[in-house]
Amino acid sequence: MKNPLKVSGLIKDFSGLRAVDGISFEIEGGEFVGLIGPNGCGKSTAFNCISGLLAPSNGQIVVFGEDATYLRPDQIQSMGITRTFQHTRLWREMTVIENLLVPPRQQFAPNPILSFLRPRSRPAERERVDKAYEILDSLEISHMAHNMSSELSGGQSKLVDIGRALMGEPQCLLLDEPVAGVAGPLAEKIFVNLRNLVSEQGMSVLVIEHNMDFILRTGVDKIIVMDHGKILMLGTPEEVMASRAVTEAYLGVTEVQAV
Amino acid sequence: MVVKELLLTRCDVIREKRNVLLALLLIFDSLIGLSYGAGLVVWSGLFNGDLVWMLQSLEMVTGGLFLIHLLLDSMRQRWGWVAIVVSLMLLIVLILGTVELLLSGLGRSAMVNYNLSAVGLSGLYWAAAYLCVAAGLTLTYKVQGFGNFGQANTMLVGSYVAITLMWSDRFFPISDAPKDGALNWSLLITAAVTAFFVTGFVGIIIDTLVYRRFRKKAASPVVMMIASLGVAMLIRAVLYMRFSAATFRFVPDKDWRLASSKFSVATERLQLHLGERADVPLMEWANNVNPYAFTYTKSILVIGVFASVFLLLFILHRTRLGRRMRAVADNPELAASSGINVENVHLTSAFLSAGISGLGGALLAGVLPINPELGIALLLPAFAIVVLGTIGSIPGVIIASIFIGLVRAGAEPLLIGVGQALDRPTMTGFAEVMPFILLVAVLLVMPRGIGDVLTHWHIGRMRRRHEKGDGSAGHSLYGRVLERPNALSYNVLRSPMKYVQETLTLIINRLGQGKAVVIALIAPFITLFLLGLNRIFSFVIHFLSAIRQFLSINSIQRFSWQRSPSLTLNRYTERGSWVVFLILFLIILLITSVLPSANELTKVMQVGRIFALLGIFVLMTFSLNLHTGMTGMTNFGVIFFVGIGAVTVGLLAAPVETNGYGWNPWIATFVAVLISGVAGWLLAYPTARLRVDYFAIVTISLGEMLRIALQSEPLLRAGTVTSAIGISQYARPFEGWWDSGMSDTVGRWIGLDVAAPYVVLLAFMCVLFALAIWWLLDTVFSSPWGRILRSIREDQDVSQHHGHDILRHKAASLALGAAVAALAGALWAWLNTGIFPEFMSPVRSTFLVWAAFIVGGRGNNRGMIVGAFLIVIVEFFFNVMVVARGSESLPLHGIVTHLDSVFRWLVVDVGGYLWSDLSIEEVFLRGKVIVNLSYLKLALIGLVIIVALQVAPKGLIPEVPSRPIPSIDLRRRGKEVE
Repeated sequence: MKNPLKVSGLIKDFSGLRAVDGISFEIEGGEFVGLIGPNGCGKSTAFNCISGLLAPSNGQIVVFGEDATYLRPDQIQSMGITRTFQHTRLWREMTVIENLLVPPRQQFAPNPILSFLRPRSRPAERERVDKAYEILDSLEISHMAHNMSSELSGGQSKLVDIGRALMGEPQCLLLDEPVAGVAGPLAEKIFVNLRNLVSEQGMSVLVIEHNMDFILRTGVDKIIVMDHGKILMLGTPEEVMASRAVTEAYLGVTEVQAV
Repeated sequence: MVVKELLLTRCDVIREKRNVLLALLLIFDSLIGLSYGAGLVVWSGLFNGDLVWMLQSLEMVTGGLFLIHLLLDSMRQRWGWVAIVVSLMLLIVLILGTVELLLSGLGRSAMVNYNLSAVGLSGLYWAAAYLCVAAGLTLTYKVQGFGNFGQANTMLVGSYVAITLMWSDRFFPISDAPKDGALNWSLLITAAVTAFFVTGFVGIIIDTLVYRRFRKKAASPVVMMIASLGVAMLIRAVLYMRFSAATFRFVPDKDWRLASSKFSVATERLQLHLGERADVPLMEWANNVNPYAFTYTKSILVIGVFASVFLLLFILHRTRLGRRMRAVADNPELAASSGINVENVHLTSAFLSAGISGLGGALLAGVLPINPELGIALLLPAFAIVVLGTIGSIPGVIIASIFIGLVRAGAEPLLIGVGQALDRPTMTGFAEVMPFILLVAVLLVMPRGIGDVLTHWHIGRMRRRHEKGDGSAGHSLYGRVLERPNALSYNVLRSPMKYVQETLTLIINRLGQGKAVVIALIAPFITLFLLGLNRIFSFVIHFLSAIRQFLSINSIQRFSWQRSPSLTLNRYTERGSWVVFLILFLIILLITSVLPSANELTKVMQVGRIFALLGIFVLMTFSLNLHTGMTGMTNFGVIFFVGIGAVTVGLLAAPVETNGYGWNPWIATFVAVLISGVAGWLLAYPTARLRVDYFAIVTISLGEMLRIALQSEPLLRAGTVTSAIGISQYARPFEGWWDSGMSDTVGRWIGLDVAAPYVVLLAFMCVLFALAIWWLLDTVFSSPWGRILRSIREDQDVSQHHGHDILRHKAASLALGAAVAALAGALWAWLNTGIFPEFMSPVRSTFLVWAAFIVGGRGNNRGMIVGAFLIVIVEFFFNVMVVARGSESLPLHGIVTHLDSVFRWLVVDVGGYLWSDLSIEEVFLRGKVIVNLSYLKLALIGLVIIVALQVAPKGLIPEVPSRPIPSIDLRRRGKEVE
């Protein structure tokens, strides 16, 4: 089986400023990877390039062995990669449950005409709705299913965002700070749930997170440390913790703050 | 598998190659078409006559635009503004080249005369005319962040201030003084200054009454843009009611109009010979050219407008006030927290933006004859300028206005020459729409405007300079100012105060002490009055909201599996929405039945017409609801698609002998709907990526282009005489069947002594079509596709990241909506029996549809029906009132006379303090001061848009959120767990 995501030599220039400077990494199937780094080190830009929001200046993105560089976001999503945004962007004037019903694929199959004429009674639609409710249940927000998504709190929005990403049945999930603003215990629970998804369904997850402790506690398989647009370090949590460079660039700061 | 492989390997390089190939193919095909009469257009055999070369030229221009777009895309990273200039030049070459090929293919020749000084100077004068609107527009964009569609009408207020002053007792002797050769400046200067202040205060009033409320609610720029549409309608209607549709000119003194009040400018004339050239060169200098005469009034306009805009630029960039404005523009919250009074800054910017437009309007009135219709003619080019010159940048606007002015002035000789060669002497009409034809072309080439390209280039340059270690050079200009902000702003601020003081002394001396004191005494009362007006307005709005809360039909209920036991009507549930719809519908139906009419037959005709119009308006609002309510594309060009439908149906069904095609009306309708759908689909690809407000401007411009084409294109004429403008005498469906007996039968059924009029059948068809489309669209809205469209409306980037090709979905939505609108157009054509250019006027249709859309409730088709019905009923109510004015015995006569007396009181008794009797006599002939009811109606509709957006932004019957419930299995399982 080919790896869900392979990035090689990715470069992104913003009119002279090099935000991402030749990063290369690979994510294997069923792997839980953390991407950390100080603010402005190019994590989100890398995400934007991978997901097709920005066109990379140079480099290659390969999804399941096929070249995905310069493809549109929707094409990349249909290859199995779904991402979330750092600032949660729900479809505000729609209900929570409806938010979850937009991403599923094959909404018009097998018969597009029929899907227009009898939308509610189709078994496929019923299955989609049930699945959405199950996901909301697992995220413990099914009581908000019929509220407008603009009425949700910040933490709830984050949860719905994750649920919405899961509805697209991705094989690789890119999460941009999924638990920022979520209460501690729930945040940990989300990470445990994600961990379970990875082990049960063989889904891969790449997650941007600021909180180093958090990343370590949830037991990620691999950590990528970025700084100034480059990959500073790539390895298991133990290796990263042991690295002098990382401690200086990143952890040093948090230790000072902790004191 | 192979197909999938192909789809997935479609990376950028391959796509680009394919696109280049496509563009080259288009150009090649049109080239052989134009030169040798070959190619797809000819081979298809569908077209004949002038249509062939028109389509071929269109093909050529499309291919060329596509190629330039690709070229610019690949050059942009490196070449910056060089790429822009090159692509603009390529655009000109493309147009000239197409004309050349076309003419030589047809074996004709055109002579284009370029009088260089004339083009340059009239370009400058058009630039000034557009700039006075565009500068105000830019300021509003910069500080408040929305496109103000009322700006051009604010400018007209300035024009009318100048004209009213001219008619005043004090100045009339001056404007009417004999031509003694000595220019009198006093009226001109007074008019300009007064127009500046009066319009400025009008701007402040509008801002306080309308936009401030939206700002407080943090409404989106789109909402404010739509509100400004209401403001524009209101101002325009008020101007019409006070100054009538007649044109007036501001004459500062008769001497200004003397033949000698002109600069004569030496010039050269360049002659271009396009097309078939026997032995003349392509380009030559003409001999014996008379010097070009540039009138003083035009030069005053140019100098006045450019000077005031430069002053504005100075204020923005070199004073503390300007810095505050820029801070507010950047981030209002941050500005507020750093001690800036944001509201004051907003008021100042409203004052300045309206004031500058008013000043320009006063000067423009000396050059162009003014009437209230001028607004939209200046607004769209002004928008074109703002978009081209980077939204929110004053220097950009100055440059873009000169560019657009030159384009307009330079297009005129070309259109004259080419028009004559192609037997189309009326082609000069297109000069008016040239600015936005150019805008559309530029947006097709650079979807994000010139500004985006320039900004990227600029940032890149700064960074490169910074990297070279030359950090100081980049911001030296700003740096110097910012280092000593206080010293500079004090200097600047102190001297204007001195000027104000001096001006005030001057004014007081002029007016005489007595009057100045009176004004000083009155001024506070006026201010109090205005504040009071604000309070009254607030009260009305609070009152309305209180009623709404009392009825408690607005509360959103918490979701529960069981049906809610309470009896409150919740409009946000499917059931509540239906009930509210039925109640409202019945109320309006009741009003329809009691609308007075002369006799049985006229009542039948009235009701028939109401229902026919209802069906048509419902279809138009449905189309708008699909585009704007569901997909989130702000479509200000509903009438464009309606127009395509009406024109196609009319042309195809008109008899062959009068320039028509003599088709069956049903086939013609089918083709019209198809053409409109395809046009909508094609329109999506270049425009769907545009910003919301760009899209609005492009669509409204398209409507105007079609209107001008209808005015001047001979192919779009059919009916009585081939040369007459408009399309008429086309066949209507079932007309023969109806007249041969059926009408008598139906007449007997509904209890008439005579045969039933055709409108009864038409009403039946309209309602039937509306019902069918209603069912279709409701199914679409509740299907997965409707869900996807709504997600695109809310946030299209996210939809794309969840796997939906938004471009395709938008194209499909545009096409479907366009087809529905074309159907409405066909029905309208049948109802009106003739299509004339005036029916395309956006104020008569698009804005009415928008009013229905806003009042009804976006995203809900039931709301659309109620909104459309309301608009149609209001229309007929006013029609009845117009008739009732004539005779005392008719109902509603009392209301009309009362309205007239109120109007008379306002204009003569109250307004008498503001303006002289002369200004009343000039407008209302023979002293008949009566209110023009059709404009009162428009004012009312404008007001309704503004108030509805504030009181009930979601409309009477808002969108019902979809709340699917889980299947029974899942619920049962859930209970077991509990």
